[in-house]
Formats: sequence, structure tokens, C-alpha cells
Amino acid sequence: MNEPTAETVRAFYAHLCETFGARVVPKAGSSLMSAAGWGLGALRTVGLRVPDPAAFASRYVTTIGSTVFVPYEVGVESGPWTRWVQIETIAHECEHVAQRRRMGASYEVAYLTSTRERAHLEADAYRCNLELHHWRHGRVPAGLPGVLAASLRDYGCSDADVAVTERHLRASAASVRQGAVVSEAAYHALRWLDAHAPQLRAPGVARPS
Amino acid sequence: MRFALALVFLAGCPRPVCPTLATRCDGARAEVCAADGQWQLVADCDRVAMQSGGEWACAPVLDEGDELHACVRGGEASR
Repeated sequence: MNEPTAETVRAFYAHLCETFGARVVPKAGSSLMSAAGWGLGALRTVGLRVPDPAAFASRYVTTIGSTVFVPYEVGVESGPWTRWVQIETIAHECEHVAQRRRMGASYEVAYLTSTRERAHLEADAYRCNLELHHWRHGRVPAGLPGVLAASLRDYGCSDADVAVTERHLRASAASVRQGAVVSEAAYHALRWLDAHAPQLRAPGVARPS
Repeated sequence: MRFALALVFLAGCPRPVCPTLATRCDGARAEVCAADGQWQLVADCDRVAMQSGGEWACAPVLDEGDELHACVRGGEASR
């Protein structure tokens, strides 16, 4: 299987960032992310299920407004952050940027105050992962919606929110397997990948219109 | 004042209208019932058609033996 090059990943990031008005910033060295990590640590001391500061710094990408904080150097493989994972990740985060553009300031209110809304916003963004996974591998494994949905437990979502998200993603996967491109970010991502890196596409996967 | 407070209270606690995890088609919209008993959009099949090409419609599909509602190409259920 062809692997994306560092140049492809960087060009992909540049394209999606320009399309969505986003910018990518290293998480390491960001005082805002350090403060966020400290805040999460404080929340853990009162019993909330949120990532610990070390995991937040290394295993999570965080988008605030249109700024995407990443724990890796774009295009450079590092632990779980393979180049393909980096490609899926920026598409997911750009869907959040698009959600904020569509919703305005109510995006932050909804995301921060309602686990139901947070789960819904994440489900729509995780659909980007399904769409890109299908383009790359030609299939969506039956268990993938459940794996993605379960990660929402680290976002303070309830078991019911996780179950609804899994159902949302299973319905989405049924469409994606038939070639549906639902998400705005996936639409732009797949058009670029088809034009500039078609060798990464699984055989038999139709080109997006 | 009491009326206003009652309105705020009622607006903040919508009455559940669907059983959590149920799915349905509402026209071209595939929806799932969220944890608070309110319908929530999964996908708008008209938008899927614009981005994916061809004709798409909401229809029931079988997934691992479980019936869901989703956007399907040509509007045909996959059973």
C-alpha cells in the first residue's frame, strides 16, 4: 500500500487550512494549551472523567476557534501519529472549524454546556474519519463506529450519548459504504486527495463528483 | 415574572418526543433519537446528493441485523 509522503501531508494541511480559514499550531510550547492541561488536571481532582494533562498534551488534537493545536510536527511520523492519521485528523478538525462557522458563538456554548450537543458535533466530525477511511481502505469495518464513539467517554459524555453517537456513525457508515460524502471537510479533503494523491485511494473506490 | 421563569424552564427542558436510539426518515433527513428524546440529524440526503453525485434518499437499511435509517444511493433499502 502506498504511504503518504511528508510533502503530501504538508500540502494537504495547507489546502484544508486555506479552505477553512484554519491554522495549525504546535501544542508544545503553547501557554493556552498548558493552561488547558492544568484545568483538566483540576477537573480530574473533582472526579470528572477527562484526559490527564500528559495524555492531553500528547494524544489529543485540540481546536479552539479556527486554531488547531497538534502534538506532532506535520508530515513527521511520531508514535500513533502516522502520516495518514495526520491526514484524517486535520479533516476531522476542519469539520469542527466549519461547524463553528455555521453556528457562530453558539458552537462553543453548545459544545461546552451540553454533552448531547458535544456528542452530536463530534459524531459529525468523526464521520470525516469514516469517509476518509473508506476512501483509503475501501471499507468501513463494522466495529469502527463503536471505537470512535467510545472515545467520547473521555469528553465527559454519558453512556447514552456514546450509544447515540455509535448509532449515528453506524447509519453514516451505511451511506459511506455506498460512496456518500456527507461532511463538508471530507468533501474538500477527498477532492484534493483525488487530484493530488490518487495513489493513496483504495482500488475500486469511486472518485467523488 | 413567574410566567417568564416558567417559559425559561420549559424551554430548557423539552419534553421527550422519541425513544432514545430510534432512527427514522423525515423526508430527505435521516435522524436518530438522542439521549434527551429529541430527534437529531444524521444526514441530509439532498446534501449528500449534491456532494456525492447521483440520487440519494433516506431509507431503512439493515446493519448487523439491526434496522437503521440512512441516506442510500437511489433511495433503495439494502436488505
